[in-house]
Amino acid sequence: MMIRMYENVIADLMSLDGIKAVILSDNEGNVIESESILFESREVESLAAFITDFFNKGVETISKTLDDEVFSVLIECKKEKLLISRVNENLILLINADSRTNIGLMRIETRKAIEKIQLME
Amino acid sequence: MMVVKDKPIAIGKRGNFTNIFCELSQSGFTGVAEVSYRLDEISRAKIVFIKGKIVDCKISKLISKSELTGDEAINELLKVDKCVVDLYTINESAIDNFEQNEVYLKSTAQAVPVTEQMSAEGNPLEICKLNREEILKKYKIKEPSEEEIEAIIKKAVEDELEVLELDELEQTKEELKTIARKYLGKLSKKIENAIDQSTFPEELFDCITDIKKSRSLLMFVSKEDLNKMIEEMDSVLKAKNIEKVNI
Repeated sequence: MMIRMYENVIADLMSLDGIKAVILSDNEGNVIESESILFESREVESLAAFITDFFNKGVETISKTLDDEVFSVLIECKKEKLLISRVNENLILLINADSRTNIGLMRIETRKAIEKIQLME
Repeated sequence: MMVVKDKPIAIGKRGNFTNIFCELSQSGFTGVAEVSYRLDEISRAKIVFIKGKIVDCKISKLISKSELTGDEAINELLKVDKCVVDLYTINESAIDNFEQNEVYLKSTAQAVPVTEQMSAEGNPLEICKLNREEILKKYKIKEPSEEEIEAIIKKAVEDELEVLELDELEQTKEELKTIARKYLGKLSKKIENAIDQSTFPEELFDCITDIKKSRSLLMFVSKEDLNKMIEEMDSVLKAKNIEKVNI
C-alpha cells in the first residue's frame, strides 16, 4: 500500500491567519496527518478521536432526522471555532481556528483542501 | 519576486526533493512548484522554474512564521528527504519578466549532486553555468584583440615610466637650484629660471655649459666658486645617470 502524504494540504490550511490546528483523520479517529500550534501530539490524538466520534454520531442522527447528507459541521466556542468536514468515506478533516477567523474563508479553503485530497487519491 | 500560480499540473507528487528537482530540470519545466515538507516544523517552499532553471525560491515556516529566501532556501531544500510537490503553471507575462531579468540561483549549481541519471544537457551544473559570450553580450563588452591588449599594456608602462622620469627631473632641478643658490645667492635667479625652463634632463647640461661661458657671472663671483659650483652640478647629473647627447 502506498504511503499517503498530505503535507501540502496541511500547509495550505496552516498558512491561513488564525488557524491553530489542522487534523486529518480516518473514520475511527486515527490521526493520519496533523499540525498544530498549541497542542502536543497526544492532545491531537485525543481531540481527533473525540471529534471524529462526535461528528460520526451527530451526522448520523442529523442525516436520519433531515433525510439529507451532512458533510460539514461548524462548532463555535467563545474563543475558538471548529470546522469538521468529511473529505471522502474514509477521511475527516478538522480545522481549529481562532474565534475571529473568517468562517467564509475557512469554508473556501476547506473545500479547496478536500478537492486537493481527492486529486491525490 | 514571487509570481502568482495559475493552473495545477500535478498535485501531490511525492518523493525526494533532489530527485524531483532533477526531473523538473531535465524536462525544462516552467511554472511554480510548491514543496511541502517537515524538517524541524511544517514548511512550504515556493520555487519558480523557467525552462528547468530555478529563478526564485522562498520557504515559509508555518509555525514559527519565519521565511528563508534565495541560496539559504535552496540549501535547506537539499536536506529534504520526503516532500510533497504541487506543480502549477504561471502566466506568460511572468515568464517574460523572468527571462528579461535572467536571474538564476547560483547555489543550485554548487549544491545539487550530479547523479548518473542526469544527462549532460539536464545537469544542473551545466544549466546554471553562465556562458562567457552571453555575459559579454549582455554587458556590451567588446573583447579586445591581442594587439589591442599589447598596446594598452605598453601605453600603461610608458605612462608610468614618464611619470617616474618627470619626478626625477624635478628632483634634479631642485638640487641644481640649491647648489646655484649656495654659491651665487641672489644672483642665482637667472640660472634658476634657465634650469626651470629645461624640459629634458639633457638640457640641464646646456645650462651648465652656459654658466661656464658666462662672463657676467665672473664679475660678481670668483672663478674658484664658479668652478666648484659647476663641479657639484656635474656630479649631481652624473649621479642621476644623465649624459650629454651629442647630435
